[in-house]
Amino acid sequence: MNQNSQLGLHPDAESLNAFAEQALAEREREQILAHLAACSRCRQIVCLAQAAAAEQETAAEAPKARSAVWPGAWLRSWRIAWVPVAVLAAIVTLAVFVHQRRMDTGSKLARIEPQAAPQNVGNLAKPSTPLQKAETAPLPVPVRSAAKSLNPTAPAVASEPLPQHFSTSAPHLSQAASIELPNSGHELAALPPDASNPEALTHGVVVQFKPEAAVSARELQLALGTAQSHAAARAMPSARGSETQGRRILASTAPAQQYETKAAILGPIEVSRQSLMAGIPSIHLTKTTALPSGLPAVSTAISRHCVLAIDQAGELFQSEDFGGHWAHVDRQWTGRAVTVHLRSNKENKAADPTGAGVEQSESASGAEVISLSAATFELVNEDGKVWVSRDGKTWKLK
Amino acid sequence: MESAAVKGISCTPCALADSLLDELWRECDAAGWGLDRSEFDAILLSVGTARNYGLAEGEAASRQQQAAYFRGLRLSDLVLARACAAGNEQAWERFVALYRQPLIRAAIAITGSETLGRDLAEQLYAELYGLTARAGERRCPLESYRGRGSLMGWLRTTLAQRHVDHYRRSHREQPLEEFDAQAPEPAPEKPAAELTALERAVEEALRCRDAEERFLLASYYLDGRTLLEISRVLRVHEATVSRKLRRATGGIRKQVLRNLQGSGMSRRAAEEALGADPRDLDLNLKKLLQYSQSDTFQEKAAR
Repeated sequence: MNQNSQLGLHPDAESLNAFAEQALAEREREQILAHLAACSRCRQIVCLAQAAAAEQETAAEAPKARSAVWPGAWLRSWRIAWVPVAVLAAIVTLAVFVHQRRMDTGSKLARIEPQAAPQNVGNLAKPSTPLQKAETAPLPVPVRSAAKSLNPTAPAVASEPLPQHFSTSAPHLSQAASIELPNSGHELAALPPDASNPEALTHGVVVQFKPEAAVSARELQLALGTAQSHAAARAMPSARGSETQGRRILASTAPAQQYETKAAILGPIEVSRQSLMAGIPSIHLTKTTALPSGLPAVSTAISRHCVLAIDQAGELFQSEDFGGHWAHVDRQWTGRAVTVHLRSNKENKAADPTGAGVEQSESASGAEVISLSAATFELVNEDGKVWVSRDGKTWKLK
Repeated sequence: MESAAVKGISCTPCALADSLLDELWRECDAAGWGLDRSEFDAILLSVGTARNYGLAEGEAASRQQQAAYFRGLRLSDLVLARACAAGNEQAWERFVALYRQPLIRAAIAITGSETLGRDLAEQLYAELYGLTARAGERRCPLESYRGRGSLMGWLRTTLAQRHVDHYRRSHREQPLEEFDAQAPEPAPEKPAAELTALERAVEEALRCRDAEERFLLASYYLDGRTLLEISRVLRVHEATVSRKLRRATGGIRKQVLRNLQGSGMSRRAAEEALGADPRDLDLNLKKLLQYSQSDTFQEKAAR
């Protein structure tokens, strides 16, 4: 005990403070603890001093904690609210993005420019975006790509004289099947899986234009039909007056841009949305039409002159009025016909270096033009043998 | 200034290593407060010998023990306190800047009153400044600070000490009319033999508890302190205090049972005796707890 200890019996302030601050040796600590156990005065002193210390520490740390912890505490208090806020922000961002793209593509839509501007067909065949890839997923049968052998870097499709028999609604083709547009130069086989969607085939037409896709007005009319093309023409006003040679409708550069036309059913022949998304219309036969054999068509090919269709029995039928009347084509091949398709002049040229039987023209800009009339039909039997024909009536083994 | 001779502890200045003193001299920047090396050495010597370097009485501290003891001190606080006690103006400026406001806040926290707290702080501050004198000699309480624990802690404890002593004095001076007149207690009846045995067993059980358990029991059950308050004093977690309290009460119960069985009761009778109404027992737990270990400091004070 020192001079400050009360009555010489209590530890001094330093000892009590050192005890509370754990600054004593074990022996002395035990002594202080034993005294505290017996002395209510010293217990009270120590407790009061420590309570004051705790209060001072709290008061000293409060401003720091307020400044340091407040942002985190604010975030924590709003932690639950962040989820819907983040979702809302994402939705708004997406909506703005889509709207902006629509605005951008809308300004480029239906832009008319001279034919001299070459377009890259290869861009049409090769989807450049995931969306395009998804929407141009290959369709199993019976469509085969006439453009597989096309040079991807080949110039764009030029304007083509409108086939007269394509200008009216083709009445009665049978079954849902893809009809290739021979001069499209596009990957018509690359129809998406949902091309077989009956709703997509029978209800409405959705036209989607791919980047840099150049579709001639005549081809569009070919696909949509003159009478039924008003919806698409509304989407592309310049398409109405684009029958003039040397002018071309440039499609939108936005892959996601869609133009839906209501009730644009073309009777038995419809333009599939996917084919238009691929940059070129292809024609599907509706389920309601049937071949004279009463069987559904399994393979169909169409040119500017005629439509050929093979039914399930392997019989070939020809129509020169796009399904209005069908004529049976006698067998000039062996086995059962499985597939009929149109082969483009480029493929023919590749197959026939002399160029015989292949019509080829060149546009004013020098672009290679694939002519409908230059294409030939090919018929494949179940053994894989191929017969070719220019008019669909006379066939010879290739 | 205390000296080794005053304390009656044999320790000479030459026992301190010069290299250690040099190192401590540099660390605490004593020269900044106007202390020269010899004064610093004297302060350290007095501080070390006052508590015999933390060793038991009569033990001789080795140089390593001396070094360990000095390294455990708050030398910067010690030098500042001694410089203030010596009347160093620069040291007082520093002291006022560091401790004046905390002292007032601590006093307010201790008293729970702004007015009382400021009065208490000003009174202590005047005392620290050396306004009080005994036998014509200026005395400063800061001289009693020896660097064990922080200076601020020492100031707080001193404030609490003054406040408790003042409260106890003023409490005793309260007028009698403030107390309710208590009816005279009836003459105690002769307790039953079981109750007498139980009282004896409880007394023995409490006496054999160690200091920490008795401190916990006294703080919790007698003073009514919360677990948090006790944990602040012991610098342990509240849960630790709770666990130790539970262990202490469980141990006392078992010891009481053993004591009762040792007095000839069966276990069942001992357990039944434990279920007696505490109001029937003539036990003063406060006396029991205070009696047990106060001898230590009485012995020390007697020296």
